[in-house]
Amino acid sequence: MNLPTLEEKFTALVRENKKLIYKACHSYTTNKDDFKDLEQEIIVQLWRAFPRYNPAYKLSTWMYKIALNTAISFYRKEKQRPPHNTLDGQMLEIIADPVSDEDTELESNIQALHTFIQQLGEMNRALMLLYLDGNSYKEIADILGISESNVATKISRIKLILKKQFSNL
Amino acid sequence: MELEEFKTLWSHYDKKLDRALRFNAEMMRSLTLGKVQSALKRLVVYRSAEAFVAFTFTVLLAMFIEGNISEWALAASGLILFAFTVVGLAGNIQQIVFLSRLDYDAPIIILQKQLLHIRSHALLHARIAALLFPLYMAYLTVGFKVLWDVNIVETRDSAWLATQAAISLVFLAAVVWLWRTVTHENMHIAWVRAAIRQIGGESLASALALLGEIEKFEREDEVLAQEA
Repeated sequence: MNLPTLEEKFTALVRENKKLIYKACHSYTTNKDDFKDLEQEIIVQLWRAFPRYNPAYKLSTWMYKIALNTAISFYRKEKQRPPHNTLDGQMLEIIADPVSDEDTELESNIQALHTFIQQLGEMNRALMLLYLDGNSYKEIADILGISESNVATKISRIKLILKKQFSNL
Repeated sequence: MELEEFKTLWSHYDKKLDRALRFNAEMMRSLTLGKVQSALKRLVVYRSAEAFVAFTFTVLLAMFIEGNISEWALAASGLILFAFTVVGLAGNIQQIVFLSRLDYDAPIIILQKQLLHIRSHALLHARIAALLFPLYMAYLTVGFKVLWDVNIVETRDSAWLATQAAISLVFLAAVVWLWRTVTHENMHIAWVRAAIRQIGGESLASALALLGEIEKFEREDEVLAQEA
């Protein structure tokens, strides 16, 4: 029996963690072209770092660090990039997902939450994404490079802003 | 709405992605896995070329000092320019080291600071160049000697030299003020922002704005440590 190649292992890794990459791209871009460029850039960085991945560390923590580091630096470059090559395709795509009437409100709330996340500064956006994805304070602290108590303080601050902004929902 | 409700909302979003998100592995292979030449590699080449130029000037200035060691004005002028070139060369070597050590799986604050350090290279160069204004006499002295074999300090009277010294002092005061004012902490001042855009374009201005955000983000750690 043939062992999977590095490329096959990497493809499986991206397939299993496609949501993480999608969410990072969605949080740091506002249009389809930027989304496509960012997803490519994140996958390139993951591919470069993949041979050095140490299985002693949690895979998702490693992926979040690379995806968010790439997204934050990409976000800053975004405005000066040349026009996008329209022949490039999208690797991660939402296929038609029929929305029932009762889901309409839910969809609009999800959209409002996305808008709120995109209004945050780059660092707070990463923090919020990690928190909503269910990472522990320790994991968030490790990914961001700050203390756990700092994570707690920032989350309570964001809670207040959220509460104020969504008080009418 | 409470944050817990947002987590519930987020988990609905997560489930939607489970249902509807598709990954095109073929496209990934064709678009990304073959990409080996990165922007960072190109930067290493640029910085290496700059380091080579700085090194060449350092050697030439060392030869100039050695050849004019008996004439204090020439040797001192050469030494000043030599010191600046060495600082520039060290900055380039530091950038090359940073670029070769960049690790995207480092904690976000650490990597972003390294990237910002690299992106603010133009500002560092501009600040070093500004520091040379008060020392313009060193340029003139070395230039006249190299181009026309004239020691400009010896051919002028003391009044002329005193005037140049006074001009240097005015430049020095202006440069010290600029050095302290044109920083990322003062990005809220319109003319500082405009000056930074002139030096390094929009990318430098936005990189410095992010540096401000990161420092603010980190500051909480210091406050919490003090409170503990």
